[in-house]
Amino acid sequence: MGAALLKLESSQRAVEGPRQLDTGTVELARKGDTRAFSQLVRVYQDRVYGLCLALGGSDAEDLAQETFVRVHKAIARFDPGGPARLSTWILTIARRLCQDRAKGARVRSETLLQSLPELPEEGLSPEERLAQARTRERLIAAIAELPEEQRSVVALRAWEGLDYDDIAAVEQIPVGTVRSRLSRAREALRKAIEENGR
Amino acid sequence: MTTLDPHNRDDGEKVDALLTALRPQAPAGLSVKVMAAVEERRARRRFLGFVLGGGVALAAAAAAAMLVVQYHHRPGSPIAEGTAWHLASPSSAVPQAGGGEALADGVTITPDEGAPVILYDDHGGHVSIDAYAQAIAHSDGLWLEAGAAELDGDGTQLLSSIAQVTALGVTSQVAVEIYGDAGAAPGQATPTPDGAPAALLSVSVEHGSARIERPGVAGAMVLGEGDRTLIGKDAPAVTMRAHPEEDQPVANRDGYRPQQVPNRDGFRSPASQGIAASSQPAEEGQLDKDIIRRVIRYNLPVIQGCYEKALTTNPSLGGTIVFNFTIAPHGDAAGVEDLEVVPPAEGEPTMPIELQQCLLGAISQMQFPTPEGGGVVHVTYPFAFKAGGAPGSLPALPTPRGGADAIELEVKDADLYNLFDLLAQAAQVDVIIDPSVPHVAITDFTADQIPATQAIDALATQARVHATWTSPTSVTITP
Repeated sequence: MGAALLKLESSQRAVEGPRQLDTGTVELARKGDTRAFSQLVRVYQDRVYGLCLALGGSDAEDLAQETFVRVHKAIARFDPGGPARLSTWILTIARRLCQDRAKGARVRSETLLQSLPELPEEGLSPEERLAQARTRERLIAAIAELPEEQRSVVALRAWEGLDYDDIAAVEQIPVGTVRSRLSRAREALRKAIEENGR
Repeated sequence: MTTLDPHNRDDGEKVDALLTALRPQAPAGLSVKVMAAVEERRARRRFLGFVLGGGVALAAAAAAAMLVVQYHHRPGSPIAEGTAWHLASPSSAVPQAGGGEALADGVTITPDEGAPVILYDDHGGHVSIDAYAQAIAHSDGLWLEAGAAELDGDGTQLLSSIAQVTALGVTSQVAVEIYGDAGAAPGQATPTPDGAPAALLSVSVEHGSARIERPGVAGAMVLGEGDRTLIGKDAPAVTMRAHPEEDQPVANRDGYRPQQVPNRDGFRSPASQGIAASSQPAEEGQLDKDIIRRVIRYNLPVIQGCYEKALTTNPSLGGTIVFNFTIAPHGDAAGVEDLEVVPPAEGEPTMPIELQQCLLGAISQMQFPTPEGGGVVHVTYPFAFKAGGAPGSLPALPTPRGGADAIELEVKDADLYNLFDLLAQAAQVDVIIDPSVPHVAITDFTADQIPATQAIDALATQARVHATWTSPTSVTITP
């Protein structure tokens, strides 16, 4: 076998539609209800943390926490009837904060290796597991090497489940630029995996 | 089971699938940390609102970089308990109670289309907020979260130290003008000849400095961030600086105690034994020293909270802060006026500004019996602090009742609620406080923390209150 074979449940292949907060809870959170805001945090914490991890590396937890504090300060001004979805609005706040804080800082692959989950191993032989672990390491190293703007769109697409329009809104770039950044990122990641198999 | 070959150049989705499988999860406890940070911010904002006290309280939340304007309901305040807020058209005349759109508690008011709005309460006070402002209506006051506001109405008055806004480190660009109509009949503003209410004081805060002007008075006081002019050496009485009129009555006499920002560093007793009072009766009135001591002793939890907060920065902090203040009659009780920090003696250390601020806020809220003879009493009061109280002074924990991981406490008394909150922090358990109802939720325990039920029983013992369990996850706390 020239390369590791990754086996995933088919349901894991597609980008999952992320959980959203119901409108009633959003409204309560806007009015300052602590429980509602706590629920909001629980619903969106993985997404915010994921983006912060992609951009801020080891500072991800602190950045995620600060993001939600900012969300709390501003949520009364969020317009549920406006053009932005809550998830996009929150991720925009996270994106700006993490970008500002992480500017110039390098995301270390060691941090990502510790923070990202293992790939599924069910049904794999010992050899395949070993190869898959190498694939993971190589992929994560490649993610760390991506330019920040590519790492961000990769996280928004693969981890946050945003479509191209929403990514464009968060990144404040044209949709075409989203496509090209994703394309370049995928190509770089694919090459990294290929090299792993040689 | 689907097999993916990541070497297939034509299948970008397969790279996506690999990436999706690596989707990270937030670390355990992140939501708890977030809520603690949010609550701390909220508590700090509440506390800062109390620091300056009075019918109109101004404070700056340093971390949040915003200026908070808050009314409180208390004797002398224009905002009575259970006040209903109404929204009026900016084009209408001075609104009268009972008209306009009634606002529900907690509603955020943001002016539409750049036009300012006027809010008024059903007791005659009213507030106009500018086109870029945002406020939240509550039955016990109005929070100006951003922007500018003009405040006037029955009994509206300016109290305490406006200058403290800079000492707390304001960086936001906010301007607030305070209007007053002391002496006006209820429901009537005191207009100037051109029809506009007379401004008592104008405070502009921007980029860490404040410019304080009084219309009709030449010159302005400009203070920089962290400026200690009004509380450092050679400082005049803080409240005197902000009092626009000599005979301005002082509100905030209902004994409302500030919420201290709880510390998470263990509960320590300050060296309260070192506190000594010296009352210097003025010509006009007298008040027994023991009474003064008793009132201050009653407020010791708040004083302790201030000290404990300071200990988190400097665990060995110790020293003495001396305050001068006047106890002046107001209605059925007496409150604090002309509060100031006495500059330390030569060679004595200056205590941290945050501690001074916190104590200023605590003392300014104290309520005393009316001095005999109806006059005022001048007091010099030293607070001596000594580090070294044993942390973790909670009693031995009783046997846990079970593994509940979220407990709601119904606390049937406001003071009890505050005490329980403090004790819960002392036990280093995570608490979520809902400011709208008197309950504390203790939640999200981890394995290395005290089990919730255990902590609650211990806290109840410490607070000498009854914890009655109505279910494995529900307990009622009563005196």
